[in-house]
Amino acid sequence: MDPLRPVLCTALVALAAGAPPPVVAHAGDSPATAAAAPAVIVLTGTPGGHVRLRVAGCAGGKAVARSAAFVADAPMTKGPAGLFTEATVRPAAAPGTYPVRVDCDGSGPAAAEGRLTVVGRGRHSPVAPVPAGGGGTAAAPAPPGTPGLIVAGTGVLLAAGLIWHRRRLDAGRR
Amino acid sequence: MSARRAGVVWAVLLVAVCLWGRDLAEGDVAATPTAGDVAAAGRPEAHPLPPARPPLPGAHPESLAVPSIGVEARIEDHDLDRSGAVEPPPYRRAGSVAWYRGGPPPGAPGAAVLVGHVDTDHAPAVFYDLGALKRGAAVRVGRADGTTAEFTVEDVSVVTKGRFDADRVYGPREQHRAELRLITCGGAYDRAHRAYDANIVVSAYLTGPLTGVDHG
Repeated sequence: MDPLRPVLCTALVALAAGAPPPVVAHAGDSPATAAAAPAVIVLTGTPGGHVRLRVAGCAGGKAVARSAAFVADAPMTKGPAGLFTEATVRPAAAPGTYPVRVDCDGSGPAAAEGRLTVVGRGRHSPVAPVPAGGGGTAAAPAPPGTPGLIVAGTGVLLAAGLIWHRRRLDAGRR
Repeated sequence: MSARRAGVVWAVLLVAVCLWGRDLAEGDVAATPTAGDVAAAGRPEAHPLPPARPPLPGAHPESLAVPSIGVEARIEDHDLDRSGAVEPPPYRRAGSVAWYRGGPPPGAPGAAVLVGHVDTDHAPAVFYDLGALKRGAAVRVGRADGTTAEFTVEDVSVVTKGRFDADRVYGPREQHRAELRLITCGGAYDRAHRAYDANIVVSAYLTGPLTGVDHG
């Protein structure tokens, strides 16, 4: 599936509902990041890959990103553009959608919430054999190669020799 | 010499030629895989394969090189077709290879999939010799970050479309490895359906990154 589709869909839903703009983060190992706060998180990841997440808005300068699809809770550290972390998607994570939540250090409402879509295998994976040939080289059955001709020729010579030998024996007996 | 003894000699000679012929014929099987779930190069070989290298960060694939069968190709991004198969490049670009962009890029964890045509309706195409690839052969993917990911072939199999196991063909064999599948058509060509009845599936895994530009 087009990896952008869930991002676009969620962005449209968020806009329609009057929600704040989403935090958009691509997955895999070379993700793009963006920031807004408070925010909707939209992530796409592959099993065993990494997702990067950036949020703004925690006064204490510390936060933790959590998801059942992460290998572990991901502490966020302060950077020039808010709080940042790189989380690893569990290698055994099944394809599907997992909630993601960022909590500021201490109490209070979540700094960001959203979902992580794990792709790569499962329903978005290829399921059918590939159609990758036009048949142009399958026109005729292959002619016998040199080894086949040598074997056939030797066989014929031997058979001829056998017949000649038997005839000679028969003639000798008469 | 008695007639019986001469007959025995002739019979032994004919059997010898027959056996010799069978050896000659079977020696050629791996080069042109036929239909059936044959693992032509799948059985264990005497020489061990190199260890797997830890996966690389993801980077967009740009080019493919398989020196042992003379393949050098540009890589295009493709999705699935309506049947759920990875869509190969159009026939007018039969020298290019399609990367399934819904899966991992070559070098990243998981099984990256590259698909190419075996032929067009009149000529051989980029993966015409894929079935002749040998276990241990090198496969190189040039990437947008300037690195070349080098893979080693561990398996070449022919999978009939009637007994197609998508998980086996497209899914990773082992966790924590960067794997690569090269897939094309093979087996017999069915003129009525205008399709081959099997896929040739080459499985390789990451054994080394090469940095720089020219690696032959």
